[in-house]
Amino acid sequence: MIKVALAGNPNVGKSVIFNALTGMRQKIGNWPGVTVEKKEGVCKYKDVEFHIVDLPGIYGFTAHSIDEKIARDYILKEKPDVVVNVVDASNIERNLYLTMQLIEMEANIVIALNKMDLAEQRGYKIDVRKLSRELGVPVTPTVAVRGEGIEELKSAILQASKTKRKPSIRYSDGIERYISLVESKVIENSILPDCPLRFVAIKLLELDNEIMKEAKVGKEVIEKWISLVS
Amino acid sequence: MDFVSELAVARYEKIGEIVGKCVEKIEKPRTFSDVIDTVVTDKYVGIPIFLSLMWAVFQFGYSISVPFSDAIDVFFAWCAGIASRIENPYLASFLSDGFFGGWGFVLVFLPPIAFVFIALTILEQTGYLPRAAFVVDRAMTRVGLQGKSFIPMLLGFGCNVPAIMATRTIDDEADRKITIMVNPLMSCSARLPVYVLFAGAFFKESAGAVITLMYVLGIILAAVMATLFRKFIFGGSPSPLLMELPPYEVPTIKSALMSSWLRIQIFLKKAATILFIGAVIMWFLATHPWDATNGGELIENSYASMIGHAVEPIISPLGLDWTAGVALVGGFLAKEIVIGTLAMIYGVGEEGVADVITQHFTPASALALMTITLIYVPCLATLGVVRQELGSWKWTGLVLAYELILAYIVALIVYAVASVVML
Amino acid sequence: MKWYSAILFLITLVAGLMEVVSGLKGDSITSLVPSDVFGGIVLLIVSAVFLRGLTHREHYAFYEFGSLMLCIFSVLYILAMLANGLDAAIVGEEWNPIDDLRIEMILLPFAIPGTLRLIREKRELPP
Repeated sequence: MIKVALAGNPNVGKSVIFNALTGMRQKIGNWPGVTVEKKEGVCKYKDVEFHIVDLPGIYGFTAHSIDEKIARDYILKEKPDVVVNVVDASNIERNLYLTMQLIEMEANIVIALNKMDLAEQRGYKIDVRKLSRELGVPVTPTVAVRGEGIEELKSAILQASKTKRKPSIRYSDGIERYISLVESKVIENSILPDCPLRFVAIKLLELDNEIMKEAKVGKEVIEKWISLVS
Repeated sequence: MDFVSELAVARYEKIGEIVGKCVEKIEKPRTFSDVIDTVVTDKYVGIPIFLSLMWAVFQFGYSISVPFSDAIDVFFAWCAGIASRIENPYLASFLSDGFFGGWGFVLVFLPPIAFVFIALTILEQTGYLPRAAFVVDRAMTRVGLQGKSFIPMLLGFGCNVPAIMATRTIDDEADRKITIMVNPLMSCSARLPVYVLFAGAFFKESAGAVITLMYVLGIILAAVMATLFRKFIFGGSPSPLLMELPPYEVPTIKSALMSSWLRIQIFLKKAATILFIGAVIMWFLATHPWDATNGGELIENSYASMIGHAVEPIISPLGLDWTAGVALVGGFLAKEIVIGTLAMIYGVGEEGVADVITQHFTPASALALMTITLIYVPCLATLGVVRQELGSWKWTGLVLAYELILAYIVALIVYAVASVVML
Repeated sequence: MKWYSAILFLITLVAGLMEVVSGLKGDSITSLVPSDVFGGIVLLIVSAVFLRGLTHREHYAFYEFGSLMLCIFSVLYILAMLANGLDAAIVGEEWNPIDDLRIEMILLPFAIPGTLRLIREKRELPP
């Protein structure tokens, strides 16, 4: 039995993929304590049960809106075995922003590159294999409304649950210096050892309220660290 | 250094790098949606187009539904007529006035509501609404709301219950709360009968204009209250509108009917429970104590009259008497009950109310009553949803309080000004 | 096709003005023009769409959409007229369809060419 989470921007076809994977075996409830809908379902593939949770559609993982907070908490605390990142191929740049953050969170992601038909219609030609190589994660093209690519997606999910690769993407040298520095401080002070290192470092740099609170690290401390970068 | 922006830039740089290697742009052909959007989001005609489409929705709802409403009305009047001839006077009164009378009044308004919902659903399915939200966003941010608040506000003209539930699409909590709190000022369809009755009786040819004025007043007050709430309670500013524009589609009658059916069901459930119970309660209050009122004839001696008289001192500065008091109290349960209550108190059928009210109201007090109906409190069902979506009695209490106070003040001003002007 | 847009602009402008004036006066000028301020304003909005098209780069879009709007309102009034007839039957009143006739219905044929063009574009272009 593996835990799978579906994450992606709103309107990318996440629900269609959720329905395609779980069929009738779904239930709808609420995330605890809030009025946001929670959808869960089960998919059986080659004798393995995928327990799938459809996270709310979000554009980022800040703590600003309830939806983002729910998604973030789920991925960090429940630690799903696989996160399926549904990306709208016809809007790929905006959608990859979330992907970047998922990679920062060191989530074990599989990208479902959906709406390939719409992308084609809009004049985009996407080299899926190259994309997968560049991002360092498996990418499965899908046209969810037609049911295309769903079986391949299930296979990719199963594969990912076994290999559990941790992709990493490096940004420009300038910012990587700061990230490395904060990472070393995090290790030094044993801050939030259960959370992915890079993620914690980046969130502290962004002065994320939630993480600062959990790490018990204040703004002045972080600014002091920053000033250490020559 | 602001790392939030730095990191955003870093991420996008990386994305640009990757996409540059893997995605090839052949050429973006002009889409059908582009053609329509050119017109619909045009800076000059965009908003007028939106207004005219809204007008079409309500016009469709109200004119097409007339035969259906009349059919229901005729049917229930016939039932009430038969019931009133039953031997047992108690049973006769209960069935004809309480049961058929009360419920009939309510169901007569189902057709307009249903048709408005259908028209709105069709419009929604074409994919036009996000464009409309986009077009009104600029105007809305100036009053402290954002474009996404627009659809719930619009739905509020039908019924506040689904409208407030629709605020779940608004991400920012402050935006969402403000939208919920001012939503009841969007005059729901249940209040329309009150406007139609009073405007028709006192303003004849200008009735349409007066009714529109009520709606406009609601919108203006909503804008004012939203600005006040934004400024004094919430602070900050509305979040920028980030919205998907789906491609246009031709809606099918089948899917439009299926979707509207869901919304209509909500109203029917409300009608079957709260409105029905409310009508029965009103009947009870108006006909009891049974002996004192002689089977419902001497309304003066009923509990309803006592309630009305108790409220009278508060509303008499507005030119309203105890009969209005009872009707307004009934409106707490559901706005649809206001007219039914009046009919019951005056002891007349629906057609008779229009004549009788000229004895109890003046044009100025009629305006005052309409204004109070517009503002004072949302019906019980709406209050329930407000409590559910706001999450606490504290906020719900605030909504109730501001509405009651605002209603009184504005009605007072309206009455004073109208009295002077009309003399 | 611009000349046709100009014609549409003019007739909707005139019809709209007549309705507004009728509405303000409180009674119709001629039998085809009802006393309806809002109906008149809506016609004026349609004429504004045609006008905007005449000065815009993408003239066709406005011509087509304006025609569609005229079509929609026209049909709306026709449906209202039929509903009125049905209502008269239910309530037992007399009804003469001619009484409910209004100018927007007469304008329907004028709106057809533009609407047909719009439908063709929908079929030919990607969504």
